[in-house]
Amino acid sequence: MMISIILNEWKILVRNRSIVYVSLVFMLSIISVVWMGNLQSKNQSQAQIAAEKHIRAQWDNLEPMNPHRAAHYGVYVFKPISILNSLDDGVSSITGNVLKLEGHVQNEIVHSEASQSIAISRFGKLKPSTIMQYMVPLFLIFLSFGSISNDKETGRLKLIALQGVSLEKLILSKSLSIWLYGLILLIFSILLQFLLGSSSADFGIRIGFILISYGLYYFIVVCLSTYISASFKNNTSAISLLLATWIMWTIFLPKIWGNTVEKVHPLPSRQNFISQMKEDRSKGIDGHNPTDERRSKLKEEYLARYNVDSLSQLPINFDGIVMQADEEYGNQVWDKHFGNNYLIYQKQKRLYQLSGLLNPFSSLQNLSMGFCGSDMIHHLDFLKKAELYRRYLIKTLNDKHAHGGSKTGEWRWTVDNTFFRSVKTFKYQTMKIKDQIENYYIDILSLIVWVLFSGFLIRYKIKRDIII
Amino acid sequence: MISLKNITKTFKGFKAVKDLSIDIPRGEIYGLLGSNGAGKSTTINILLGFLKPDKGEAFIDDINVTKSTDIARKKIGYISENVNLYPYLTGIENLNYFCKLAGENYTAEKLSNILNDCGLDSQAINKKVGTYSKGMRQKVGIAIAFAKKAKVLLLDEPASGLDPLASTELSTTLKTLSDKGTTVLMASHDIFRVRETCDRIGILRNGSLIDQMDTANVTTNELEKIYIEYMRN
Amino acid sequence: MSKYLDILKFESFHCINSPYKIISILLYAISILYGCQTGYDLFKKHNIEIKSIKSKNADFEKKMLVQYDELEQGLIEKPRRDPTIPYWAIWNTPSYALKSPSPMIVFSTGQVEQYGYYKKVTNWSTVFDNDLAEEIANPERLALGTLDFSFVLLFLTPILLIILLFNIGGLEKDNGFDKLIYLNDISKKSWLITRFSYYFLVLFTLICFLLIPYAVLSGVFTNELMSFFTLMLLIFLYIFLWVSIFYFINYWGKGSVDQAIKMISVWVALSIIMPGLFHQITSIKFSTNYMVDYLDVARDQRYEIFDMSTDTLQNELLESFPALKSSVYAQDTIINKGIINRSVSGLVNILNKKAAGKIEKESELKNNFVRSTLLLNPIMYFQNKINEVSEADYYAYKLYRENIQNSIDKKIELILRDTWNKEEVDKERYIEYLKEFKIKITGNI
Repeated sequence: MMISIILNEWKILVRNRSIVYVSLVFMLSIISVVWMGNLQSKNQSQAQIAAEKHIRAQWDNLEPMNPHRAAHYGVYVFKPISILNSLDDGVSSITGNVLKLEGHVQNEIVHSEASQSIAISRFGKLKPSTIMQYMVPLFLIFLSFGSISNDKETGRLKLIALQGVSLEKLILSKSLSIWLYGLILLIFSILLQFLLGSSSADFGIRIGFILISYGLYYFIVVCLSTYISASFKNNTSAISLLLATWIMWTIFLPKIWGNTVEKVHPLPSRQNFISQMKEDRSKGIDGHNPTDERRSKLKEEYLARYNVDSLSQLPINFDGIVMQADEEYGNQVWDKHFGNNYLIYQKQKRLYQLSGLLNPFSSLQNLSMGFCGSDMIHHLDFLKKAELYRRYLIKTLNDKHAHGGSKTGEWRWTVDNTFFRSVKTFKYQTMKIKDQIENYYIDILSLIVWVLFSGFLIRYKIKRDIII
Repeated sequence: MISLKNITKTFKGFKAVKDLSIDIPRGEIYGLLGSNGAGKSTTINILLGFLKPDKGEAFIDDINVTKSTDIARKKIGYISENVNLYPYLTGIENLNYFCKLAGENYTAEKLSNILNDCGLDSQAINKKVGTYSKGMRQKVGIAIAFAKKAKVLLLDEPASGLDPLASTELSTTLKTLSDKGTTVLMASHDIFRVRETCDRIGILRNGSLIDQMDTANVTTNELEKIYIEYMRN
Repeated sequence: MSKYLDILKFESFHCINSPYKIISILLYAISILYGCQTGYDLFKKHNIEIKSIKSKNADFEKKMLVQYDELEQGLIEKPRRDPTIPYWAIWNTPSYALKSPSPMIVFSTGQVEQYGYYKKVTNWSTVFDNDLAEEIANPERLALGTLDFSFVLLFLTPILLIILLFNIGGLEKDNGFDKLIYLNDISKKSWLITRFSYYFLVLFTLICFLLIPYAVLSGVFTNELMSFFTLMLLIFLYIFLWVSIFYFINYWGKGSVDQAIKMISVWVALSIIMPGLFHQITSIKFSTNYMVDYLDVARDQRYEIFDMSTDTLQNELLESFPALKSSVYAQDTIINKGIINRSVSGLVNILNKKAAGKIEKESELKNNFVRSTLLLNPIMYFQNKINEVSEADYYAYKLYRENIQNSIDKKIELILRDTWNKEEVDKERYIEYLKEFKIKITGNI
C-alpha cells in the first residue's frame, strides 16, 4: 500500500511540468555549481602550490647563511584548500592563508580572502552546499506543505481513508516520496563530486557521511512539513509556519546562537593576549641579550657539563643552545596561551553544536563543513601542524648552529644550501575523519533526535479529526 | 443495512445530532433532507467512522461502525459534494490507485469496464481528471465505490453544482446500483433531486429527525411545502 | 483622497487583528535592537582597546622622558639601545596607527572583523604585517556572520515584508472575492499600492524610531549626522525596492500561497543565490592572493639588501633619497657603517611600498569586477553602500593602510634626516618626535 502511494506521488510529480522544469533547473544548477566549485578549487590549489614551490625554491637556493639568520629568514606556509572545498568551503574564505614560520615568534595566519575585496556575499560562495542546504530543503517544503492539506481541502483524504489507508501510513508514504526526490538531487550532486574527487578511503568516508547527514536533514524537513501540512486547516497556514521555521533555522538562529556562544565563552582581546604572551615570554631566555640572567645560568650549566672555563673552549656553539632553550620556553608559552584559546574555541564549538537540538540546520552546517574539512577543527589542526613543523624547523636550524661545527660567537659562520635543502618541506595532511568523528557526535546525535522526533510526531501526534 | 440508533453528537456544547434513529434496509435509497447545519454531514461522518457519537450506535451491515471501523469501512463507498481526484492522473489511473489502496488489483480492461458501467465513456477514461467536468468526476467516484464492491453508498450533497443532465445521470446510476442491492444514503437540500432519486426521505432539523415519508406518497410540490413549513417552524 | 485614507485605516485593522503579523513585527523590532546592540558592543570594545593603547603609550612616553632626564643628570648609563641615537630614539617613540571605529558601525559592522585596527609602527613596518591581523575570533562565528542592524535590514526586512504582504490581494483571490473589490470605484493598482504603502510607512517609521536611541548613544548625531541621513536614505530606497518587487508579484499573483512561494523564491535568489554566484565567479576570476610579491620583499629582496656592501647601500640611499646629499654625513669621505645600517629600512620600505601597491592594484581590479556585478546583486550593492557610510568597508581599511604607510614614511624620513645629520637626541628632540608621531587615527576619535 505504501509503495502504491509513493508510486502514485511520483507519477503526479513527474506529470507536473513545473516540477519537471524546476528539477531540470536544479540538475543544471548542481552541474554548473559543482563545475564552478571544482574550477575555483583547482585555481586556488594551483595558486597555493605555485606559492609553495616559489617559497621553497628560495629556501633551497639560499646563499650560504648562518642557521640562526635562516631562522629569521623563515619559511612561509600556505593553507591548502580543504579536501572537499569545492562542495563546502566553510570557514576558508574567512581565515587567513599565509603563515610565516620563524624563530622566536609564532605568527598569526593572515591575508584572508575576505580581506582582499569589498563585500560580495553574506552566505558565502555558491557551492553545492549552498544549494543543498538552502535551496533543496526549501523546495522540499514547497512540495510537501500541501501534500496532506491539499487532500484535506479537496476531500480526497476521506476517500483515501475509506479505502482502508491509515493516516500515519499515508503521511509517512507521502513524506518518503518527497524525501526520495530530495535524495535523488542529493545523490546526483554527491555523485558528481565523487567522480571529480580523489579516490582515497578518507574521501569516500567523508562523502558517505555527507550523504547521510544531508539525507537525515531532508527527512526531518519533509516529515515536519508533511506533519504541519496535516495539522493545519489550510495550505496558507501550513506554508506560513513552514517558511517561518525555515527562516528561523537557516537565517536567524545560527547567527543569534553564534553570537551568544562568543559571549558565553569570551576570547581574550588580541592586545591582552599579546601582552600576556609577551609577559610570560619575558620570563624565559632572551636569546639575543647577552646580559640576560637565565642565559648566564644556562652557560654555567654547559661549562660544567663540558668541564671547561669559558664559552670559547666549548666544542659546540653555545649561541645555538641558548636559541633552542629560548625556543623551548617560547613553545611552552605558546602551548599555554594558544592552548587556552583553542580550549575556548572548543567550548564555543560544543555550545554551538548543542543548538542542533533546537535547530537541525546548525547540525547539518557543522557536519557539512566538518566532513568537507573546512570547519574550525580542521583549520586549528592545520595551525597546530604548522606550529609543530615550525618547532622542527627551528630546532633543526638551532641544532646545526650549536653542533654544526662552529664555535660560540661565530655569527658569520655559514652553512650552504645542501643543508637547507635537507630540511623537510611542510606538507599538510588533512586529518582522517574516522579519527575525528567524536568531534561531530553532538551534531549527528541532534539529527538523529530530530529524525526520531519527526517520526514520533507522525506516528503519535496526528489528530484523527483532520480527515473531516 | 444502515442503522442509526439514538445517535447524539455534540460539538463544544452545540448538539449537532440529537437522538437520531434511522433504519435503511438493503437496496433502498434514503434521502436525508435538511438545511445547512441540520446535521446531515455529521450523520454521514459518524457512519463513515470519522466521528464518534457521544451516545447511540451506528451499524453498517450489522457491523458497529464505532467499534469495528476498519471492517465497516470496507463496505462503504462515499461520494462528496466535490469529488476531487488527482488532476494529473487519468480517470483509469485514479481508479486503479484507489483500488490498490483498498488492496484490489484489477486489470486495465476490468477498470475500463467499471468506469463504463458507471457512465464514463471510453474516450474519457484515458484523459486526465483535471479536464473532467464535475459530473464526470462523480462518475469516477462512484466507480471507486463500485470497484470496492461497497454494500453501502453514502453521498453528501452529490447533486450540488451538477447540470440537469449530469444530475439525472447520477440518479439513474444510483437507481441501478440500488437495484443491484446497494444501499444508498444521500444527504441533500435539493428537494427535487431527492424526490426523484430516493425511495424514502427523512427531514432533519437542528439535528433531529422530524419526519419520514415514502417518496411514492408525495409529489415534489407537496414535499417542498412540507419541508418549508418545517423549516419555518 | 478619503477613500485612500479609509484603505489605510482598514489595513491597520487587518494588521492589528493578525496575531502573526504583530508577532513578526515585534520579533523584527527585537532583531533591530539586538543588531544595534551587537554593533554598539563592538564600537565600545574597539574604543576600549584604543583607549588602553593610548594609555600604555602615555606610560611609555613618561618612562622615556624620565630616562632622558636621568641620562642628562648622569644617573644612569646609556642602555644597549642608546636613546641619544636618532634611530633608537625614533624606535622608542610610540607610534601607533589606529583605525578608530565610526559611531556608524553600531548600524553596520561591515568588514570590521576582517581587519586589525591598531598597529605599532616602526621603520621596518609594512601595511601587511602580521600584527595587523584581525581581532581574535571564532572563525565559524565569523563565517556565520554577525547579526548587526545591516543584516536585519538587508535580509530580514524582505522576510518581514513577505509576512506582511503575501496575502494582500491573495486572500481575496483565495476566497474568490477579489473581483468584488475591483468592481468598486478603485483600480487594482491603486488598491494594492495604498495597502502596500501602509506597511512601507509602518516599517520605515519603526526602523527610524529604533535607530535613534542608538544613534544618540554612540554619538552619531554629533559626529556623523550626514552619514546617518545617508543611511536613512539607503533604508528608504531599500525598502522601496522590495516593496516594488512584491507589488508586481502580488499584482500578477494567483493567491496567497502562490505569492508567498514567489516572494520567498525571489528573496532566496537575491539574498543567497546571486551574491553566492558572483562570489564564486569572483573567486574563479581572482584566485585568493597568497601575497607572494609581498613575501618576496619581506624576505628574499630584503635579505638581498642586507647582503649588499656598505658603499653600494650608501649609493642606493643617496639615489633613492636625494635630500640626503646635503646632509652632514654625505660630506664625509669615510663610510660609516652604523649610519648606513640604520638607514637600510628606507630602501626596504621602497620595495614594500612597491609590493603593497601591486597588491592594492590587484585588489582594486577585483573590486572593480565585483562592482560591475552589483547591478545584478542589489543586496550587496546596498550592503557595500551601508558599509561605506559606516566606514567599515575595504576602502576605510585601505585608507587606514595608507595612514600606516605615511607613518612608516615619516619614521624613515626622520631617521634618515637626523642620522645623516649626526644629530644627538635629547629630551627636547624626543618631545619633538613625540609630537610628530602623535597617534595617527584613521576615522573618528
